[in-house]
Amino acid sequence: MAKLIGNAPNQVPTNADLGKMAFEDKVNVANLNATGTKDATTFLRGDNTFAEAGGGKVLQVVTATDSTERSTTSTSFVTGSNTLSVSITPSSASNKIFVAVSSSIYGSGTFSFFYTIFRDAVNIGASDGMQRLYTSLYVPMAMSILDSPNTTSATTYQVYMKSNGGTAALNWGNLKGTITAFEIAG
Amino acid sequence: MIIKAILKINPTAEVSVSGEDINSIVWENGTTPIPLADIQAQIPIIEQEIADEAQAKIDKKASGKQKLLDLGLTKEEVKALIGA
Repeated sequence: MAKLIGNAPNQVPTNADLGKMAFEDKVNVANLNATGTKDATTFLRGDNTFAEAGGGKVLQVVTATDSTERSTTSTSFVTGSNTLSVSITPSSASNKIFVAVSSSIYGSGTFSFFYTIFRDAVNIGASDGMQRLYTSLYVPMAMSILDSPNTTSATTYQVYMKSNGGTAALNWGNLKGTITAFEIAG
Repeated sequence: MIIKAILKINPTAEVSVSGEDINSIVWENGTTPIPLADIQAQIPIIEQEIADEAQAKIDKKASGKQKLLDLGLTKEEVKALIGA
């Protein structure tokens, strides 16, 4: 097999090389003069290097559901649901965690009701969270965030809620709420 | 229902509850716990208040409907106005 890329910049192929190139219609990967490891998990990049797929790859997914209505009158964020919680251990500190939550919510009275996501003991939403409901309504609720926990330790993501007067509820009517965390390669 | 019963005893109580499980009550932000027996005693009262409120709505609707009929509206006109 002819060497398509030689070590010398001005290498002239021999007549034998040209003959082989003219009659072969494919090049075996083993014959490519590229760096990196050639295996089932790698791809040939434009810089002539075999490497794994880059950032954006989903490395792991964890999820949890809860079908029990949870309610609170707390004026500071409290655990909305012990079971609407996931623990994920990033494989690299540079990786990101995408967290998505869905639930049905309800508030009673002419007040505001707030919902957010905590990473361990830290609110990763704004000071008043990521979702706000005003007055007595039954509505669907969704929250999502791309977080950078910068750790390789087990990390817990959990839904929290609070009220500034009435009762805030999560998984209203015992409908199923979900929380899912995706580890994304950095 | 449980939170309503608690708020009837202490309107400023800060608590969290899972479902209707009275044993799941978490007293938040320094709220003084209320004995479970006191909360349980309030539940039938709350249930009666909810039932009374629902019945009052039904009665008011029937009363309003009758007054409209007494004013000379036809049943069809009343139905078009209030949907019943």
